[in-house]
Amino acid sequence: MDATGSDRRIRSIVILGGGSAGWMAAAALARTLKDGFTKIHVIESPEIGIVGVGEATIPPIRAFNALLGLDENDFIRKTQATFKLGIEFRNWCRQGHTYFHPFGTYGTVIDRVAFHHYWMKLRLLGDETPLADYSLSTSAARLGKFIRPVQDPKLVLSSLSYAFHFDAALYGAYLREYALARGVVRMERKVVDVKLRGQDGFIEALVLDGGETIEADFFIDCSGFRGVLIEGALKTGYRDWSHWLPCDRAAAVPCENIDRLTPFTRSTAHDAGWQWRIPLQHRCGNGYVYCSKFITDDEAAATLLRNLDGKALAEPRFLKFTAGRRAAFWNKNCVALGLASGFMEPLESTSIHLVMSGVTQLLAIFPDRDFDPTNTTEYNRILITEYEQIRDFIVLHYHATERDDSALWRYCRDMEIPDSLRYRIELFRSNGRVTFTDRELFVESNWLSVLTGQHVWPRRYDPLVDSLDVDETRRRLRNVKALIAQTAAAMPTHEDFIAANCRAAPPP
Amino acid sequence: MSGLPSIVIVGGGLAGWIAAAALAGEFKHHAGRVSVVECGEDEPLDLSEEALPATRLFLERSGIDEDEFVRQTKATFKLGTEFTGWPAPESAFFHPFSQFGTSIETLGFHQCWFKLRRHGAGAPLGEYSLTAVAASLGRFARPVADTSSVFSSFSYGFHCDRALHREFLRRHALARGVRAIAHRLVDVAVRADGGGIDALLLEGGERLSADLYIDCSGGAGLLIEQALGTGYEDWSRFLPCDRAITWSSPKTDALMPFSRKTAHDAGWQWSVPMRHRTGNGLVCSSRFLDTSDMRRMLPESLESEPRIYAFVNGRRRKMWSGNCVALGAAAGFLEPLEATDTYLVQSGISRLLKLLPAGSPCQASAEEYNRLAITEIEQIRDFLILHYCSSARRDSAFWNYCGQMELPGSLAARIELFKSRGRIAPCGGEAFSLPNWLAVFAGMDVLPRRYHPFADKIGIAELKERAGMIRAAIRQAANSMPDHGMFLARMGAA
Repeated sequence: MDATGSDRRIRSIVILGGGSAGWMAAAALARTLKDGFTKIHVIESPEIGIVGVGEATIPPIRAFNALLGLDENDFIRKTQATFKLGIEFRNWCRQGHTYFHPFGTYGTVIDRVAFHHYWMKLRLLGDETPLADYSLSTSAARLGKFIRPVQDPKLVLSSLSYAFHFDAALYGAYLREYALARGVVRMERKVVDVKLRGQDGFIEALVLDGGETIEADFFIDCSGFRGVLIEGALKTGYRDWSHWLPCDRAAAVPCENIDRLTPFTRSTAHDAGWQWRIPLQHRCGNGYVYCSKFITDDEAAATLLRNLDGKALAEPRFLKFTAGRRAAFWNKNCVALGLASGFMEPLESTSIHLVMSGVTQLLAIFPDRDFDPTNTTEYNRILITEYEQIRDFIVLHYHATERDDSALWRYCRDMEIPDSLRYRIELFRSNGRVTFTDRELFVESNWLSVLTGQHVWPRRYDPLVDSLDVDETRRRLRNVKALIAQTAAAMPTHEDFIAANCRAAPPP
Repeated sequence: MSGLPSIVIVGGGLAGWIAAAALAGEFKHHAGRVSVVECGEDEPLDLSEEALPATRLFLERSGIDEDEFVRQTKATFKLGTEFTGWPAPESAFFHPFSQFGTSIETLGFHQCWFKLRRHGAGAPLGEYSLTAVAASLGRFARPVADTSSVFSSFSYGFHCDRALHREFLRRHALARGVRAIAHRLVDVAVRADGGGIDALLLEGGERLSADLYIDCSGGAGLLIEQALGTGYEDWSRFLPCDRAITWSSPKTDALMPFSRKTAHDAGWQWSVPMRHRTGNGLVCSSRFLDTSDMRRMLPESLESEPRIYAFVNGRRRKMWSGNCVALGAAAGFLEPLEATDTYLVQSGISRLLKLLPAGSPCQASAEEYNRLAITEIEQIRDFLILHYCSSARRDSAFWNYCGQMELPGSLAARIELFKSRGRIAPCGGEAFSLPNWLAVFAGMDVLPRRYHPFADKIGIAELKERAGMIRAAIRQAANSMPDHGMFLARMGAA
């Protein structure tokens, strides 16, 4: 309510686009607004029976599920999901080299010093135990095991964390059902024009095929790469990051499951990009993200098909993109989510997270009909910061490589990187610490996994480690390692855990 | 061979011994690597007799028993600060170390409170804070860990005698193996390569070298400024006070679990309750009040001669330069309006411990330290300025100036964000977070133009009822807490 006491609440919201982004927004808004005052419409194009691609997520997805009040096992069954303990990176550091980026933490804090400093000290003394041996998630992933973690921080099982792999189309459908049951109205229509208000250029209404118009106070653009509202109508502009992230195409294809269901995503570096492998219960999602400067579409498709576990279940589909972000995610009375807001390759599975993060911030700074620019600025500040932090983390994977066997890798090794990333790498090299400005999505254990996984070694460790006797340090680390190995061995297999808790019905 | 650096601390005031105690706690049997050069009568003057809740963590990390600390320093507990005469000459508010209320339907309590105020309903914000209510009743108890309990929603600090505080930490550090050096510093040899300090020359001819030097010599900054010429950023245009006079008065019969900061024509005055005496101070701006006029504001009969301090609010351009780290007034000074001076030393030394160099310091660690330290002190600066710039007082030249002065961009943006919709953005530093900013905004009668639209999902009648229940529960909980003086007596701190 404003100072004069008149009701300025948002009366109507139109969400354009019904992919996972659109239905995530619709579901969260329906859940939170739930008073029947605000009408929510989702406009989506008529469906053309697409095959869902495998989508990998990161642990904060569980907070979003909790916000919606979803039953996790039900959600897994409905989306053919599997559990994810982290990502295996093959050939990134160099050909034939593999490292694992786990969710969860390493070892345990000893005398208030982070565990990895003790590990670095022993490493400098010649102990070759890999950091991975001190991660429960990594140890379990290697053995194909899974169990949900516990809360009690005294137990080693609390150091595990997890996310999911799911079928993106089924996920969209699942949230659509959720949103429709809570009063969201779906319209299967095409938008042919956007009407802007004369005096301030705000979006007034969308013109649908057939000439009908739909008005709203607030619009959410989930229309994909094109950004029909944020770019097409509002001309917001785009920040191009392709000099840091040169990949600009992807070819995606599902294949049959042959191997066991791995509780992790695999990312394999090729000459001109990298290939993802995302295991779902009913099949496996695959895709090759590549740079069109260095390889043709046909060659890329051939490489992709050559590197599948089982038989391909469709023809490869191609995507084109430019890495970067919209100049503003919230412009006038329109917020862009998902591909309409920008594109970063799914190397660290952040696509769904960025939608979720946008929706969460939108709820925290929910507008009224006067759209105070202070709130819009604050939203953009928060989201832009997050996009750039994620960008730095992804760029690290390309830049910190020993590969020089193809043009792409030579380019990435030698390219100029963002100052913020250079600062972080330098600080880590000089004393083994990762710096943070505020609470970030990827924390010390994440950076540590990728930095050491790609052989960025610190010159020193925290000197406070030296106040613990070296034999005692060895003894404690041996104990941690043994405890983790025992705990991982005692866990059920990923398949058994799914069978006992959340087995999906075979697809029709 | 241990990689722990050798460290010399210059200055045996409170800052120097806070640093030494923290280092002793972490270095353990290597504490002998730490030395403190005490300066005798030239010790830096310590203003503060208050400590923020973060002190509890500092004590724990340094291996100090909190009860023992309270007993030895004649301390009382601090649940917050009462600000009198700040919003307007006759009005007051309480800044508690606690949450306000509890969220209603996932919406922060403050947004619900803004709606209540808009409807002319709801009690003053302090009525929804357990510590504000407990303080007004003279009650105290320690919080509990169980987050579902109303007794978990707060924290506390201390009021402690500055000389006893220093003496206590000094004994603790010496017992752990830290070396105290009684010879005065006569000169500082600087390295020709710009790498910082080469050696300290002491009275009697001793030459003292170390991997790292910590300058705790007070505002003069014997190492960081006089030897290394780092430079100082002056903030007196935002915080014009620059003089303080301190004195003691007899202890009060009822021990308040809070301090009082009373605004006057050209600054403010503090009163801090301890078990053996009351600490007092008068803070003024010499631009608006002569020192002679200041003296006239003191009580007529004083137990001891008052001490006068001159200071300039501001910060060193770099707190870590080469192999020298400055802490306390050597690193920067902020008037003790929100009891941040000991906090800044504690947080500085714990940051240094996180970035501690092995052997000779590296540039990357210094840059990172400065980035974090500057962010922190600037946030506290902004928080202090808010107390002045948002006052409605226009009854003196001083307050007229404060009402019209330009503000740092960071604070102006924060105020605008709050006024627009009551949002308090998370801040990087740890000293003050949402409830602290909220307490001062609301206390100074700065209210947002609008509240979060989700507050309209709850009808006003229901909101009144729920807020009323929270208020009643808090009052009941506060009433069940023991008397502050009794609590102290029971722990053997009479």
